Amino acid sequence: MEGKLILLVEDNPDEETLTLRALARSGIDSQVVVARDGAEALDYLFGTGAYAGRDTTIMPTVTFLDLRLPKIDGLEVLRRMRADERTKLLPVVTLSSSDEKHDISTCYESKANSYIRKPVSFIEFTETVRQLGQYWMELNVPPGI
Amino acid sequence: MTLALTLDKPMERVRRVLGISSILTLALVFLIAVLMALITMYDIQRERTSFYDNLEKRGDFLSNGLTEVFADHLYYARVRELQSAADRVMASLPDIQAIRVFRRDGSVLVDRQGHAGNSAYVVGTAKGPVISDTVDTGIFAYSYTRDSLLLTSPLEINSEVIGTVQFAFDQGPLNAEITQILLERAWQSSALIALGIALAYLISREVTQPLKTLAASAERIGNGDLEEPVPAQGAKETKVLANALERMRVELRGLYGGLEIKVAARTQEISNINQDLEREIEVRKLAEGALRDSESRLQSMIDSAAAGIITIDDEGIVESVNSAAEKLFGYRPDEIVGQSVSLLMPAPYQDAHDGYLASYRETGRSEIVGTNRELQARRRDGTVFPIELAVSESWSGGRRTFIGIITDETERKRAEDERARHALALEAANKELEAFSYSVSHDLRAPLRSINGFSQALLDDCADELGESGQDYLHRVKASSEHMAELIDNLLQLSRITRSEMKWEQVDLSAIAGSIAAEVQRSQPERQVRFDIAEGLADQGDGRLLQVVLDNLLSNSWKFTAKQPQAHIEFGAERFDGVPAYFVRDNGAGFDMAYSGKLFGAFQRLHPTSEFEGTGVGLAIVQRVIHRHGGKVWAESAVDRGATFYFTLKTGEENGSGGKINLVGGRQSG
Repeated sequence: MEGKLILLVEDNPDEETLTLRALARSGIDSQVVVARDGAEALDYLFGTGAYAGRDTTIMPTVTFLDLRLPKIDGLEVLRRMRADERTKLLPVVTLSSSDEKHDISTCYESKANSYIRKPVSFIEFTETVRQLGQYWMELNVPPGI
Repeated sequence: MTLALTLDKPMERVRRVLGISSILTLALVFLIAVLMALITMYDIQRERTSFYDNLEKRGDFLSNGLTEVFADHLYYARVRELQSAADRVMASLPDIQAIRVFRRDGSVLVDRQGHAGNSAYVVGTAKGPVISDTVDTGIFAYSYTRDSLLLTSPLEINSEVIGTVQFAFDQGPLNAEITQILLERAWQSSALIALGIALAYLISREVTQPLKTLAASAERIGNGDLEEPVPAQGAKETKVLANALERMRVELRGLYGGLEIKVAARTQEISNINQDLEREIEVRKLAEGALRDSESRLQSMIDSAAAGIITIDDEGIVESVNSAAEKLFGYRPDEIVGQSVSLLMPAPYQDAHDGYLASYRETGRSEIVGTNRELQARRRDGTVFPIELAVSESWSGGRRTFIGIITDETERKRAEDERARHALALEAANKELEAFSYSVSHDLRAPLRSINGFSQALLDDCADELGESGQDYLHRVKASSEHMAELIDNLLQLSRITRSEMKWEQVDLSAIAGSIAAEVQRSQPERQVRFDIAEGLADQGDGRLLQVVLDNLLSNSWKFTAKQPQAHIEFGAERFDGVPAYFVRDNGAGFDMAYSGKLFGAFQRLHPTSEFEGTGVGLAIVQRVIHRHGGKVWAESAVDRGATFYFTLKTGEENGSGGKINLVGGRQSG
């Protein structure tokens, strides 16, 4: 999994720590870039703001996107990604606490590739992350960049 | 044209006064008289001409023969010879009345007057013509007096006129001759006229008598006497006329005869119609009586109607109001009838109403007539209130009446406004609830995940330091967080069921129960449970929600039969109050009916978690779903004797009257 990159968009430091821990415990050693709000995520993707000058030919293999974010929320990040040529095909997995039908359908309408409800049990969560890493980083064939 | 009129009028009068025979006679007499007069005049003229010719011939002869003698005597002034010569002539020619010899200067030299007996009679003039030198010789002239013909002839010696001689011829014979002619002609005329009159009489008898008869016949016919035939007499034309008249008479008689028959038939017909009319009038009178009754009934209906009823004419003038309208507007009938209906409207409508009416009269188009409209009305005291107005128009005797039915909408409007306020409040509450649910699902779960995750991290990383009891505590923390997550999920599910929209469809309950049974069996394949699921159970409902109901009930049964070595779960239906009551029955732990009141309350549990896990939300969800379907849910059980949960999807016929219902109702309200 070398050269592969995961973009984790998560504002809650606890969640960030637990997700990174789950990734580590699942044996996923890819580089993980963490953006702590929607604006930072977009800056990273488009090489703007704090990430000005970043080599934007390098794009995440998969983006784990939380919906509840400060500044620009997850759905808006997703829409802007889909509106831009450089990011419109990037795989995005929505990670959310919600199981509201409305949230789920809105995400798919905004062209999320997957919707995952984070379980409370960390053991279950680790298993979920392991499967996600395995699927998106290994099984899935990403769109050619 | 004026001339024709002036001539026509007297002719017309003549024709009117005189009969045709008189005209004929007069014309004939007139014709004869004119002819005779002409003949007489011609005869007299001829007689006179021949007489004078004769005299003149004699005169010529006289003057030729005598003038020489007379000239000689004159030349020598032999008066005596002249006198005797004249006497001789006169003696020999008795019709010469007088002879005079004049000198050249016209003076009389000799004047010998006629016959004895009338010698005093002076014939002609006493003065002769004056002969001048310039006068041509050979003067020879005739002149006439009443009784005489005067012949004046020159006396010449050697072609010189020395005097004149005048002979006066007697005209007596001529006059006698003329008198004779006149007399003759008079007689002839008389005779001819008499003949003419006789002829006219005959002609008129021949021609006018038949005409008179015809005229009399025609007059009879004219007076309607068609029985006497028209006699054909007189000339050919008259006969033709008479025959024509006769044919006309016969034809007329035929026509009159037919007419009389027709008149008789028509009279009969009219009499029949009259009888019909009389009968109809009777019927009408009865109908009018009935109509009056119906009218008075209608009037009392109008008067007792709850809605205000106002009629106006084409111009918007109020014709009548019923008692409800009086109360509604606060006007007495005499205060409003005859006034413009715009009196009952607030300002903007008041001014526009006349325009509306005029426009409707012209175009026949209106937003009011034939529809119900919500409008504002004005009471006598000036207060404006909402009404519903239905206007219809009716035509009677060419007059249009608009009938307005007015309902006071004040109460309804108020209730509506209140309802709208409530709906708004409810909507706001729902929105809030939604936001709350969203918040719960997101924000309450995140800390639980942290608690769970870091507890797990501690167990993973620091197990040795924690020791046995430390690890046990952390396991409890983890379990609690998971339980709380479950509680949150159930709570959300409950709230979602209340909010979600119902989708009615035919639901195959047997199939749903079957698939749930298979699923729970899969989750614990080691358990031996007998499922009895009745086939073909289907009903109207929301499939997704009924799935939740059966899931909860069957899972409960599965759970509470866990300690039963020979578990038995049954799904079926019974009739209850005329509607199907579906049930899920098990032979599990059951419960004490004394606590059944807590059965369907949220987070209420009748068993300790250590014995049977669960959140206590399941049955609350079941009850909510069944209530949303308009059905009932209840249970029967006893401790260790199993439990049966019943539900219906529609209201029974004897709603709430059964003992079971009362029992269950008590539990539900608790």
